[in-house]
Amino acid sequence: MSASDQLGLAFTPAARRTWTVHDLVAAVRTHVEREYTDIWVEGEISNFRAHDSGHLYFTLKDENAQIRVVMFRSSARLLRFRPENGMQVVARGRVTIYEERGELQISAEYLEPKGAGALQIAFEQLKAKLEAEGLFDAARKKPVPTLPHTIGIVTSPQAAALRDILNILRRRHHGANVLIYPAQVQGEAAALEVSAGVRHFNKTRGVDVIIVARGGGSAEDLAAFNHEGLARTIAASEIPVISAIGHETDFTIIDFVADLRAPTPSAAAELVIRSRQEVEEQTSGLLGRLEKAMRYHLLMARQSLTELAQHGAFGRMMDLIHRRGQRLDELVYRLGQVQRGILEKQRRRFETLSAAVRHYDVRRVLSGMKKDLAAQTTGLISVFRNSLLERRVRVERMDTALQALSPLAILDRGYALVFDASGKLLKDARKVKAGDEISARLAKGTVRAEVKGKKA
Amino acid sequence: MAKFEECLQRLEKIVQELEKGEVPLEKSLTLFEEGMQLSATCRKELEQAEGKVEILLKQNGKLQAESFES
Repeated sequence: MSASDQLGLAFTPAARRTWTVHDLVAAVRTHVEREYTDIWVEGEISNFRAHDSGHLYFTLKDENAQIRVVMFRSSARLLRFRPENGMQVVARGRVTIYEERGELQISAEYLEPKGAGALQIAFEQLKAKLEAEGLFDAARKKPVPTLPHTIGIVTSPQAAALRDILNILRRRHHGANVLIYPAQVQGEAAALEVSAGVRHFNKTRGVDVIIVARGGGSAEDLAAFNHEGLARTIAASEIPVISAIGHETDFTIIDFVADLRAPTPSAAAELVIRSRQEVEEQTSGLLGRLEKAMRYHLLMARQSLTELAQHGAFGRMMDLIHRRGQRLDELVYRLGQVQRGILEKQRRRFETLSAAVRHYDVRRVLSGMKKDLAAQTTGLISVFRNSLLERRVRVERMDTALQALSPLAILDRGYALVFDASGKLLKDARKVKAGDEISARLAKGTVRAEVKGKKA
Repeated sequence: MAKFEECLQRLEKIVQELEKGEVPLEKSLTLFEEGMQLSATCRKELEQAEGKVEILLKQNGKLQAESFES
């Protein structure tokens, strides 16, 4: 055997056969499809695209190779999760060739996140264990404040979940403060970091409620929130905890131990604060009711007062009050009098004293004048006395004259007054008839008589 | 903490008691006065909330709150 034979250089080609591209691809396809009818393949998703038709297209790859995958709508709609780029999955299907492009591809019928089966079992086991311990009991759940002063959030500062929460808080115009404890929410360290956050807030007591938040992701991404240690930390928290993990359909262990489960991070923000407007309306509503109730009380009180006033007892009471008032007035008046008396006395004393002062100054001048005055006064008094005597005589004379004018004095001169039976003075004969009794008053005594006749 | 809620709850209780109309006048005046004070406290509490957003960051091994810009 020559060296060239050994190297294959003596190779003689078979009869030449030229394929059409289609025939070739079709032939290979038949071969491949026969060979790989039902395979499981594991890899990472990339170039994921969900078409409007409902079919899913993506690439499965590992470090060294990649292959296109198509999943038709009939299979895609049965998926329990949403495939995403970067997700490790296990796909089941058959290998085929897309003839139009000559591309090797997998037509997948089933897809599951890698390790999901194992995770699911662990999840159910932990859930059953904690539930048996009573950590999910409704009685354990603390009420979540509807208007906290400060909200603690344990999440990744880069997460969309945090932005969602802050947006809602801002939109509601509520002044609640927010304190963020940054924590990884995915991967090995996530459970420990989130636990540390919850413990930190419990230690520092700076917040009224804690939100543990993370946006949507695969079951694997959310696995950190199925951690037993984290679940126990949350169960032990003395500050109410709201879990806000993933989408509405995602459930994690901490959703069961938290005091409240929010379907999404945005929903957590909505649960934890009511709008400022709503709160203000409640406050002013209460104030209105308070005033109304008080007005009613006063009205009732006034009404019973009126009733009481109409009642006799109250009238007597008012009487008593009035009498006391009067007595008070009297006392006040008397007090005033006493004061005035004292003042008067003092005023007089003052005058006496000032007179004494004045006297002292002019005493000598006055003593001379005093003598003159005394002499003159004596003269004056005798003059005055004489004139008084004279007057008295005149008065007595006038009195006699007046007496003469009196009707009784006329009687002295022989006249009489005639009265009818009723005692009225009789001035007209027509006022009496024959037989009427009359009386006549004389200067001394009265006579009774009967009318015998009369002349008009 | 959460003073506002306590405040609001007490106010609610007072209003309900007054609305029942069974308390004597003297007591109702005391309640009314307390209610007015609570309402003022609530309002103050609402106005005091600053709405600041902070993040805890480690500095020299200690967590410090710093302003957070989202």
